[in-house]
Amino acid sequence: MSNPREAWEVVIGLEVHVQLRTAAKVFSPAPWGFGAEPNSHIDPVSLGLPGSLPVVNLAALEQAIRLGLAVDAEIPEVCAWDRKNYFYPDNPKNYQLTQMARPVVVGGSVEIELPGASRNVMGEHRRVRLHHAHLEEDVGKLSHAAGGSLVDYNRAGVPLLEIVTEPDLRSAAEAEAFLRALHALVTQAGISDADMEKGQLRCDANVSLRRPGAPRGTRTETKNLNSISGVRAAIEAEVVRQARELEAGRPVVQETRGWNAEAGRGYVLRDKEDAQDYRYFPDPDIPPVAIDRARVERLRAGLPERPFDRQRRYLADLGLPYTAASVLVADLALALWFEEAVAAHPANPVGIANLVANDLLRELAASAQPGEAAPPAPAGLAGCKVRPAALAELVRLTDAGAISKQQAREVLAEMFLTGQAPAAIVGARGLAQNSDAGELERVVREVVADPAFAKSLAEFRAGNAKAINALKGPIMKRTQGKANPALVDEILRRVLS
Amino acid sequence: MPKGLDIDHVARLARLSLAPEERERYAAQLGQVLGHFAALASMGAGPADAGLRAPVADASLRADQPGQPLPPTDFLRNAPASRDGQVAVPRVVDDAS
Amino acid sequence: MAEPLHTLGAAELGRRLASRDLTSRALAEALLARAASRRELGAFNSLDADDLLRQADAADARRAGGRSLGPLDGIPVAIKDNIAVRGQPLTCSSRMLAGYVSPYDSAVAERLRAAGALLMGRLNMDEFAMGSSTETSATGLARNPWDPARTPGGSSGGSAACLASGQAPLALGSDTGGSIRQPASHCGLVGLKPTYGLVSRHGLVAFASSLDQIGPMARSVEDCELLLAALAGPDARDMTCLAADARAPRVLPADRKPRLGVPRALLEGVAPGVRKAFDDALGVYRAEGCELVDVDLPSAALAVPAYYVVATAEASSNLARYDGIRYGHRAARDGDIVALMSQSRAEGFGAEVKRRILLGTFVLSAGFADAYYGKALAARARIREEYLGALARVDALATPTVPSSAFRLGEKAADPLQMYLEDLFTIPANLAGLPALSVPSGLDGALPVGLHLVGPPLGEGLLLGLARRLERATGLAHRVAQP
Repeated sequence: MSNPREAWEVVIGLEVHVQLRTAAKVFSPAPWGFGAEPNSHIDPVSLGLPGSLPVVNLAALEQAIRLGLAVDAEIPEVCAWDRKNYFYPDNPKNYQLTQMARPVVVGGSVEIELPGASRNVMGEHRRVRLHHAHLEEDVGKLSHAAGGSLVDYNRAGVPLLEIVTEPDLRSAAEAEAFLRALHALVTQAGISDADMEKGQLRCDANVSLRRPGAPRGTRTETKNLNSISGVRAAIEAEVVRQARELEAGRPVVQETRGWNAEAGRGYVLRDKEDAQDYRYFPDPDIPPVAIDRARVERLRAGLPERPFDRQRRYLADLGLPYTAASVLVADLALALWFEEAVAAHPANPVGIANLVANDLLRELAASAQPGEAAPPAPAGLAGCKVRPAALAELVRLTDAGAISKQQAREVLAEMFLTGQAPAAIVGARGLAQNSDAGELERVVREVVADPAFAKSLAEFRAGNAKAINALKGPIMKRTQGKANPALVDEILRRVLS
Repeated sequence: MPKGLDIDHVARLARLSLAPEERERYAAQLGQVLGHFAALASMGAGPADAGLRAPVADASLRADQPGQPLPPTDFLRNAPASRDGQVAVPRVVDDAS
Repeated sequence: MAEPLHTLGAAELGRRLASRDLTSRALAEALLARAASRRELGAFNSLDADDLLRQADAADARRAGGRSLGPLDGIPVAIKDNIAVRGQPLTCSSRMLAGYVSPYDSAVAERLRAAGALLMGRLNMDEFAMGSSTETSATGLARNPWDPARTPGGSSGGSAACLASGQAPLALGSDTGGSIRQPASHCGLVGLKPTYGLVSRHGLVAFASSLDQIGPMARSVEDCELLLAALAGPDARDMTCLAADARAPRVLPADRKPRLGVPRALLEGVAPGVRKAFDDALGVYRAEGCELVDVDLPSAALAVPAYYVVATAEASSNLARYDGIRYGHRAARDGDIVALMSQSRAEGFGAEVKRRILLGTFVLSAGFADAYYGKALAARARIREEYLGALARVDALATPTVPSSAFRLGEKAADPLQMYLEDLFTIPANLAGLPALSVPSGLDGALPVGLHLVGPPLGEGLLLGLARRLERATGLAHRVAQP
């Protein structure tokens, strides 16, 4: 009866809830936001007080449409809202306004990137199909106190976009890649802040196993996963659990589960006796809404380039290495900053990329105050004293041979502190690289003639190509590190040949 | 009871506790009323909507301007039980549905 | 003048206030005295005298300062207890909301305040507007002023009892299946249910969202029209409320006499006294040269079933929020949250409300929703189509408002289905979203009987014009039951 675990095909579908960036709630004008006093972001509508009625927030609908456009989905002519009826203390009306029959986003797909063979190698790209996405209201927050529970309704009515994938994912790693890709899409487009720690992005995972080619197995749903590592761990644990059950001849029970992150274990939620009957029907208080095509086009035009499209452009058009490109596209502000620098000095995008992705980010990280974002979301970029044109100038100086790459890093560090122009710093520090061919040839010949380096010389002449580096050190030393390395190499090889 | 009316199931869905004699009475009354609805059986499937409404233009939706929130006291004044600015309820054991 | 203040209509009161022959304060005091003397009719759930007098004084001050707000300034309007007034109880005559105070004003309350009207008391009603006799009220029976052993009708029975006994000149009711028109008929009043969407539902405690409308009730057509003008208007807080540019009114044609459609096939079960009054009313129109046309409404048999499926379905969802958690009655019991909610609702709701919640839950439940709710929506669409078709051929449809006049209290309590079937004339207008009114047409013995008119969308003016003709002929206006 026991078949090897490797022969199971894992089938995963995700339902991701994303809080949309708006000032007011989705059906009420109450404000909302993280960290407020309990029950301070409330109003009759979001509380469902007697006589209150919902009114759709246009900005919430537009954010949903923008997400739909970002995933190449269909935006229908008309969308409408339904009532999902169930009783729960965090649900003020004991029904939730959602979209069952006519959601605002239909179909679409998200491009994901799987990890490559190593960090420097881009992994495979795949598209994960979406079934749909719909706009609904969030519920309040239950917390547990001694002898009872407490309810805070601040979160009730916050705009939520529920994004439902097709069961296209085949591993926990793919699920993680999907969430990262979705996170980048929504944050870069300003659709959501998607901070999982603040509950702005939450994920339910549907998992089933089957033998390849067989029909889909019974699936379980694990709810309210609120960290990417949690999603990954929960899915992996559930796969192991289901495989164990199936291999022991027991069926997988269709159930709703939770994930205990500290214990690293899933558990069955104390679910209702039978499956919930939500008695969906069209909400009579909200008429169907016709979505204006001109509005859709305006919203489309306002979307930023997608991260993977930008990455492809960097690799193909700018010739960037993958490591630098992937770091740059991970943050929209950083990517745009980089592009501004390239516009100022188009001849060497790779040089600019390396300086930005390595050195500038390092400077930003080192200077970040505790609690500020560290790369790849450099909060300090906006206030950074180095401006794109200045960094571009620095690279131009390096390309022209005025300074070495090592010197450029030192100049950048000082630009970061003082905001001075690179040329000024180079001049003040007397860093200008020595590209005087005559003087360099004199030093080269001195070193070549020096008996201290005869051994290296002999090794080089014997065929050890790397031995030439042993001669370069002293040359650099005798020029106070200012000799133009490329020129030194050229002269040295000429002298030795 | 007409075929299919499980009064206990419906009462549970509706969160209504029914005393035994209530149970009997409502089941009988509902059965009688539902029997009268046989006239509906001749209808075909309905429109997806309540049928009265043309779509409204998205331009008529509300602008994203937060209004004044309701002061917590105005809300909690009507609450049967509250603590620390939150509504107090018996311990809720399972997590969200 | 000799007539007591409490018998005067709103238009006349407005004139006397404007000419300074009367102060709002004097009027308020007279009505409060009248209300105190007629308490046994059970019209009001509560009446805040101090608040009313404060409002009256403010109106008098406005007028003294030359800042009168219009024809309703200083005139009390009694408010049904399911329409929110900030700082006042909002009980819907239910134990579930005993003690609940609304923290905000309904749109109609705002409009009335802006017109200078005085918001007077909280009127008794069937619990959560579910009923046709005000017998389901948890705050006490309401009685018909013309015969206190009989019902004033429902669910706006308190509104009707208040008006017919002279406790206020104007009142708000709400109408989901006839709850303004039927009490108006039973108490000799003019009651109008507007076109769906004409009046904002912001602040109306929802019973059935796609059917509910707030509407005016008064002792004359003129007064009813006055009140309607103050209530109607756009409101961005209610997405079902018609926008300003969607309110072109339908009027009677100028080039010919009105044409009334009569669905004779539906009149079979009408009681003789009611039938006579109806025929007399038709006689009035005929004598004025109106054309009476027989109309066929074959989907009429679907109306009551469709209504009770759609209304109870929506109600079961609208009333789910009453669970004792955030406000309202909470049972005194420990244990789990499900038990607490279920017990709170069992204790807070009366039998009719429970019946309708159970029915509505059932018709939406898995395995039955298509057969009941789905088909009810189809029936509704057909009924609307049929009525619009008929109204393309005639200006209004005429029937009695109710098949029989006011019954004795307790007479029908045992048989909910019987009560539901009495709504057959009023229900279609709610299902189709059309304006409809009841205007006194005659008497059945001592009991008032009303004529029911249904008009095309936004045809309120058309209906009121027709009603005015009948009122002129019958003289049945401004009637206050004595003592």
